[in-house]
Amino acid sequence: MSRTLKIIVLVSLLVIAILAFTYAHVMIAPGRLIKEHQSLNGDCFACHTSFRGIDSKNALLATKSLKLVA
Amino acid sequence: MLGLLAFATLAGDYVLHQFNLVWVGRYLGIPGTLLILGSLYYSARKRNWFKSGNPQTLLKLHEFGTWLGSAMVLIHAGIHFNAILPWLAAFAMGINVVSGLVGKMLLKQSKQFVKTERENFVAQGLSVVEVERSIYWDALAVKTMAQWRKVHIPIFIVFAVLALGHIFSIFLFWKWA
Repeated sequence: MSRTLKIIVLVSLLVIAILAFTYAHVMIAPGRLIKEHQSLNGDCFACHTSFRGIDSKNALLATKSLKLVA
Repeated sequence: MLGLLAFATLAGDYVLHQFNLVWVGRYLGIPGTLLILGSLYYSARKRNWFKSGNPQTLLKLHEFGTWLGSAMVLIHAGIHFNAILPWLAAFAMGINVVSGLVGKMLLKQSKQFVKTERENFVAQGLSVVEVERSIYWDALAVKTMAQWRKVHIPIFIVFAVLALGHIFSIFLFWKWA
């Protein structure tokens, strides 16, 4: 693999990695959130806990922050 | 082979939908990925990282394993457009399959070319010059394949990184507990 090609491949992958972190809701999420949860788009960890799934405590806190529940 | 791959994907997707087994498609990515990974044994064998196994048989298994694995991954992807990262991975895999089929065609052509040349030399009676010529065509076939590998391997690396990104994101958000 030539040096130029290596650089192009690495830069492209780096851009994709940055996009995956900054626009996770577009790059990774399997679908859009419901209308009431739109403000949580891009903040996956508002409800999810790494390697554990949706934490009900987190999800409730996030929903409370949207003032959907008391 | 490419047409057959598209047909197998569409047929597989159709059958799963007809029998209300769409959930199976969600998990087909796992055996598909394992098949692709397993077929990489050929690549390792060719580089002498492993000593056992007939390279010719392993090449056949590599071709079949990557084709079937890709079909499974494509059914897993389904015809749904949601997140971009897995689609980039699926697209890179598709390019990888096309590149692999081009390599298969080049290898077949190179083999045929060398075989024809050798047959001509044998028919004419071998001499030192002709043997050199024969070696030259062998070398050309090897060079053609080496140049093809310079394209095939970077495409595979891109596919592997994108697929790993997709797998990592699934592991990160999966409900394990």
